Amino acid sequence: MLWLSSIAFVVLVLGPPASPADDGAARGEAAANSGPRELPDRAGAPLRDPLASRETAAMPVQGAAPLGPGSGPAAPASPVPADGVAPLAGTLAAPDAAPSSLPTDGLTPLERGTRPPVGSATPLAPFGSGPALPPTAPTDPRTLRAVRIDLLAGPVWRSRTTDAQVLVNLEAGRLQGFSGTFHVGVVVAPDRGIVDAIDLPIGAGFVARRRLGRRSVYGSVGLTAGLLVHRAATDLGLVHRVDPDFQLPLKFAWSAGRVGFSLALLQGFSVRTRTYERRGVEVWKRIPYRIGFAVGLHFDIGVGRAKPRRARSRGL
Amino acid sequence: MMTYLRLFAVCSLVLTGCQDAIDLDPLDNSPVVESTVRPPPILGGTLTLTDDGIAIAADPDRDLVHVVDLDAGEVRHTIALEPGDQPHRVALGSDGLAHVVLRGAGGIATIDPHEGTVTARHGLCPEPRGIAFHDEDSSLYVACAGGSLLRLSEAGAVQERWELEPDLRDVLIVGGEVKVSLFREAAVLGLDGTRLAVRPTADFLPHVAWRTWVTEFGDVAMLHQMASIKPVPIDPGPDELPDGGAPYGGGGVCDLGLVSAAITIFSDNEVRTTPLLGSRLTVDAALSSDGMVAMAVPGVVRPEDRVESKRPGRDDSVSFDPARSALRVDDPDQPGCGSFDENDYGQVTAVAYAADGRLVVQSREPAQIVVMDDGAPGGGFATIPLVGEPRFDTGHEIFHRATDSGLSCASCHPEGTDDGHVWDFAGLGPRRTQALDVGLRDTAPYHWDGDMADFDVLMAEVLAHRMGGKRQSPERGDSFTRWMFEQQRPALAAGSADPALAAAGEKLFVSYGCATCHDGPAFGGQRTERIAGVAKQVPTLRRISLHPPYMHDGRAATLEAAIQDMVETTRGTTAPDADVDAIAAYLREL
Repeated sequence: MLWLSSIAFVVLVLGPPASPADDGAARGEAAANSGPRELPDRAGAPLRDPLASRETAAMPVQGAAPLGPGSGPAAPASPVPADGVAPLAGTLAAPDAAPSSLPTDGLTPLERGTRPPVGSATPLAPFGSGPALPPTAPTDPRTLRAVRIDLLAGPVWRSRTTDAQVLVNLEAGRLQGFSGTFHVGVVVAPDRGIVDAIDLPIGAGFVARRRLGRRSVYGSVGLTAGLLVHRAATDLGLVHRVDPDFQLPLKFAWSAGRVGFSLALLQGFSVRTRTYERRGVEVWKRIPYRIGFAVGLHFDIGVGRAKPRRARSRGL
Repeated sequence: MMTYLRLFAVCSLVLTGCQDAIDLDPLDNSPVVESTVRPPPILGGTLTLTDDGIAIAADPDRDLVHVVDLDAGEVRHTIALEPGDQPHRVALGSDGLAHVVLRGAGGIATIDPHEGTVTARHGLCPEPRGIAFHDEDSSLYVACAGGSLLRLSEAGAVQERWELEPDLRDVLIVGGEVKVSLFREAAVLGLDGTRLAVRPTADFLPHVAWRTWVTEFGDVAMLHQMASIKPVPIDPGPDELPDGGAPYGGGGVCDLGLVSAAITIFSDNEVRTTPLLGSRLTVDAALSSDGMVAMAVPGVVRPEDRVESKRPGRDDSVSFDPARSALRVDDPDQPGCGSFDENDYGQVTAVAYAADGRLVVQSREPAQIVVMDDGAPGGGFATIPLVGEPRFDTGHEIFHRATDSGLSCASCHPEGTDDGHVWDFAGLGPRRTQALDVGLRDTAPYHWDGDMADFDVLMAEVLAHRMGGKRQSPERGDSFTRWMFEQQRPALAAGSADPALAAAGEKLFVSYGCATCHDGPAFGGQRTERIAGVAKQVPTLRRISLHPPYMHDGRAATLEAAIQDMVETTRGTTAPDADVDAIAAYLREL
C-alpha cells in the first residue's frame, strides 16, 4: 500500500506524463498564467532579443512580481523603451519611445531590486546592448542547482520489530526538478540478545523535488538502488552479508536559508529475508521490506543558477 | 505503467521468497578419524579389582584384557582375545581365575591373571551380558540378553538354565540368592519371581540400568537413567527456546534434562533413588566403603570440543564446570551437581574402589588406568597407560559426546540400541525410541514417520537442533553414518525357543501377510506404509523380542499384543491365540 502511495505521490509531484502536443499546450498555458515562468537561459542576458522583449512585454506586471517573500507589490509600469535600452542622453525616456509596460529599469520583473536604480552613475553599455548586469540572487527553484545534505534519524518499522536508523543523504541537482542522490545509513536492530546486527544501506539514484505552494516547503520522491550491508556479531563470530537494496524516499523539507528541516518516509526493499536460527528455531528475522520515518536537518552547501536545460538556437 | 507495476510486484514477491538463513549452531569440521577397527558403542563397567591389588580391565574396543598391578603401577599382562570378542563384565572365580563375558563371541573366556593366559573359552548364547561367581556352589551364572540365565561349572559346562525375561543384564548374588537385572526396565528379578523395581516419579520413569551390583552391606545398588514423561518440545517458538540450550532442554549445570543418571539403593526396607543433577551419559558406578559413589561419565565434552562465544564482552568460559569432568564422585545422600575437576582422565568407562579406598578408573581412549589415592578426583593421581592401538573414532565420538542439552545419542540409544522409552513429543504424539543395532543400512528414511531422509538430515535436525549438538561437516557426517551402519548385533534365540512352534510361526507369518511389509534381510525397515490412515516406517523385526513396548507409540506391551494389534489393524479380524503364540515364537528367534 505504501508503495502505491509513493507512486501516487510521484504522479502528484511530477504530474502525469504528457504527450509532446500536450507539452506545447502546457507551455503556452504557462506563459499565459501568472505562475512562475521560464526565465531566459542565461542569467543577465541582454534584453535586445526581440522575441524575448515581446514575451516580456506581453507579461502582465503582476505576474512578474518577485517570488521571494517580502519583495512587495509590483512596481507600476514606466515608459521605458521596449528593448529596455536606456537613452544615451541619460534622460529617463527617449522622446520617440513607444509606451511600454516594461519596468522602467529595463529588467525583468523577477530581477527587480537587484539592479541600481536608473539615473545612477552606472555606466551604460554602448551600442544599445544594455548594461552589464551584476549576478542576481536566485529566486525560481527551477533554475537553481543545489547540493543538499540531509542528516536524518528515526525509527524503521519491519514486520515485528522497530529498528533505529541514522541516514546521511547527499543530493545534487536542481532545487526543483531532478537531482542525483546518494545515501549512507545505519540501521540498528534493537533485539541484540542473540544477534548484534546492524544494516548499512548504501545507495544512489535520483529524486524529483518540487516546491509545495509558495513557501519554502519542498516535497520530493526518489528511487535509489544500492546495497544493504548486513553485519552481525554472533557467538560464532562476525557475519557479513550483502543484499541488493532499493529505497523509495518520500521527503518533505522546509528551508530557512541554507539550513532546513527534513521529514522523510523511507521505504526500503532489500530483496531477501534474513533469518538466524539456533537449534532449528528462528531466533532473529528481518523481512526485506522496511518503512522508516525520519526527521532531521538539511544543509544546502551550494546553491547557484543551473545550466540551461537545452541550448537555444535562436538569439545572437 | 500498470504493466511495470505488476512486474515490479511479482518480482518483489518472488524475491521476498528468497531467504538467507544463518545457522548459529556451531559447526564441527575437525578432521575425520576412523580407527582401523571401528569401536563398538560403549558398554561400560569393564573393571574388576582383586583383593591383592590387581585390576582386571576388559577392553571391548581392542579385544584385550589387561592385568594391572595397582601397587606397582604397571601392566602385568595384556591378554589378547579373538577379534570381535568384545570382552565386557569380569567375575572373579576360584583359584585366582577370572571369567570374562565375551559379548561379541557369545561366550565366556576364563583367564589366569597371574600367568596372563586364556585357559578356556566357552560358547553360551548370542549375547551374554552379566556374570557372577557363586561361592557356595562354585558356579558361574551368566545372563544372556535374550532372557536365558545359565548356571555353569567353572569348567564351562552348563548345569542349569532358566528362561526369564528378555534384556537381562547383570547377575547378582545377594545373600546367597541369584538375581538378575533388566537393562531397559531398570528392575531386578529373582529366580523365585520376586521383582525389585525403581519407583517412578511424577515426571520421570526409570530405565536403562547400566550397572547393578551388591554393596558391602548386602544392599543392591543400581546406576540407571531417568527419562522424562513430560511433553518434549521439538519445534518450540523463539520465545520458548531455553536460554543457551536446545528444544530438548537441559544443559544447565544442575538441570535434570530429559535423561539423567540416578542411583537407587534397594535395601531391606526401602528403595531410595537419588537423581543426579547435571549428569551426562554415565555408564558405570562404584560405591566406596564410606558411602561415596564414583561414576564414569564418558559422555562429557572434551576440553577441545568446547564452544565459547566469540561475541565481544560475552566470554562465557567457566573455569570450573562440574559437568565437564569425566569422573564424578557424589554423596548419594547429598548429591551435588558434579565434580569440580578439570583433569583429563580420558574417556572414562569404568570405575571401581579398591579395598584400601583407592579409586581406580579405566579410560577407553586413551587406554589407561588412573589410580586416585584419595578415592576422589581433585587430588593426586597416577596414570598407567595400557597397550593397544588407538580407538578414537569420529562416529563413535559423535555418538557418545554430550550436547548442550546434556544428552548424547547414547543417552536414548544405550549400547547403540534403544532405551525402551515412549517419548511424548509435543505436536507429534508418543514415539517409542527405535533400536539402532539392527542394521540401518538401506533403511532410509528414518524415524517412525519417515521424515528424516538420511543421516545428514537426521543429524542436523535431531543432533544439532533438538539436542543442541554441533552441526557436523559432510565428511564427519559420512563417517558417522558408516559407523552407524556397522552396528549390527546378531540375532537372538530368545525366550522359550520351541523349534516346531517357531517353524509353524514362520508359515503363519507369511500367511497372515506380515512378510509383505516386513521383508528383506532385516525383516522390514525398508518401506513406509500407510496403516490405519497414517504413514509409518515399517520397523525391522531383528531382535524384536528385546524391544518392548511395541508399535510406534508403545501401545503393545508384549510381542503377542503387538501381533494381535497388527492383525486386527491390517486384516480387520482377530487371530487365534495359538497363531499369535506361534508367530511370537518365530519372531523371538530373529
